[in-house]
Amino acid sequence: MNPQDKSSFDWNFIRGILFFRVLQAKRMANNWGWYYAIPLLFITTLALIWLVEVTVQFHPVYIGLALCLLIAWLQNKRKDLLFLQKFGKNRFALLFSEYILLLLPLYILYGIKGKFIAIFIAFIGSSIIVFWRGVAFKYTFNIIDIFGERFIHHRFFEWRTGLRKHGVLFFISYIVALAILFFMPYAIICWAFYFLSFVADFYNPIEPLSLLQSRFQATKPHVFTRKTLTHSTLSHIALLPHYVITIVIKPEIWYIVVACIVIIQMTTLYSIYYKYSVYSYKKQFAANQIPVALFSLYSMLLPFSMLIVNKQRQKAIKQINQCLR
Amino acid sequence: MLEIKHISFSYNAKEVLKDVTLSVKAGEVHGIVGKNGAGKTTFFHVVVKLLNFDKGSITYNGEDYLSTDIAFLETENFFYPYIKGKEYIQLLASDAHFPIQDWNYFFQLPLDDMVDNYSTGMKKKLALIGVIAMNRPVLIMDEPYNGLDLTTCELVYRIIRRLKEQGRLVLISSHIVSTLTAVCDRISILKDGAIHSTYKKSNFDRLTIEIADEFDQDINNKLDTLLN
Repeated sequence: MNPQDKSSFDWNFIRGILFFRVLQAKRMANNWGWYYAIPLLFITTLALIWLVEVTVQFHPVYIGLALCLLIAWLQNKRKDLLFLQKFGKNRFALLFSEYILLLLPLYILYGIKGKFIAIFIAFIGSSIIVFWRGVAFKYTFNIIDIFGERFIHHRFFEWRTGLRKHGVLFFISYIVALAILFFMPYAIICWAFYFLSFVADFYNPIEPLSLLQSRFQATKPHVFTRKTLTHSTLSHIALLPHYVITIVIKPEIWYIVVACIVIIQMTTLYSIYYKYSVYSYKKQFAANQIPVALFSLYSMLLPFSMLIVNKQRQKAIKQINQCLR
Repeated sequence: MLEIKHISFSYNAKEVLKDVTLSVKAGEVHGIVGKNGAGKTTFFHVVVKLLNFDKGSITYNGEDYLSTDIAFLETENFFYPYIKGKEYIQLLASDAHFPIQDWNYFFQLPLDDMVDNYSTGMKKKLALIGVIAMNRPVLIMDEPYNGLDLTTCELVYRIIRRLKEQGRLVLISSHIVSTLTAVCDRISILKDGAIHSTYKKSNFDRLTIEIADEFDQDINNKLDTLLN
């Protein structure tokens, strides 16, 4: 195929890439040793059968949505999208066939169990995810990006870049969470923790020193406080529809919503402070996943978590002043 | 005036900078030339307060200064992941009305694209615009010509000359002497962590001869042995 001709649709090319994936799997098996690879394949098959047996009792819509989420997660994690962008339209068909191949065992097993609606939803969902991302990369921006640029000021660059990174997965999770809250208001707790995994990732990269200097030129703590307050407010604004739906659907669990607000508030503050407390001009990432995950678990224990956040704040201010002396 | 007096800096018990003394006036472009590992980048890191020196003093206009008085262009620039060129400059610019598009007329960068997709030269150009956008009285440029094409190098010469006319103080390093002689008022040779000699504009021909002499002495003999 001529890579310049983006309009052409070449099955040979797709077959070639799929064959390449099979070779990759073979290479991995060679690497591990077939002695381990074959039992592993056998165990994986059994695990899949068990998974289907357990999940088959759920509503097909939920199974379909779960499969969609899995594809969105895979799509978000893969590193070769920019490379595949070169191949234009073929990329859509290629990704779509790759995900079908990958989930084929699950589709067969769910098919045997008669869960055709789940498979159908997974197919539709995966094509939306793949096509959406394909369109986004083709025009180098996506809907989330336009939204971010229009409604989020460039000073909230952590959010803008974070949304750009997690775009599709974040958006789909956001919508799915909204939908689920109508039926299961208690799910707001799960969504709050899932949302915090994004927030932690938003504050994971460390900005270059020049950016830090331009943002905190005044070297005054109130500039820093303003940043933390505005950023945590942004988290609450993002989750406002979820809070409202939960309260409207089941007002008696207002205390769970309050708990979620506390968790989000404290963990967002902790993520920001953590980033600056480990700041170094040589570092590019704060590696905050584990500390933030641990903190989020006990963030509800207010006096204790407030102490931790305050300690982290002092560390962060000290570190910033050190960099801007 | 930036006054650097008897600065020493050691790293892992190795003395990287030895009694470095240098003074640069406002409206002056001072070049630092030296071999790889001579200590140029360490020297700049000390000046911008990224590293703490062991001995000596550095003052700007006779007083202690903040690192935010200096715009520092690093040899290798790293950018925030998933950031766009335009956003990067917006974040750095001291003035909200910094004419990004007008500056980009010279550099022709795809500012609406993510910086992750830029080439090395494009990243260097973006960092250059960023340094200009910071609008600081002191500019320190560590190897600003790395990765730039000839036209952009010429553009950078002109920008540096204009900044000098505005009274900015510019410290600049390079491996290539000709890129320094084109813009500098004085050039110092940094050798084994110490200022070996400083040349004024009128003596730049002597600087070129000294470097060529050193090349002759150190390397020509070995090359003769190896290639004959």
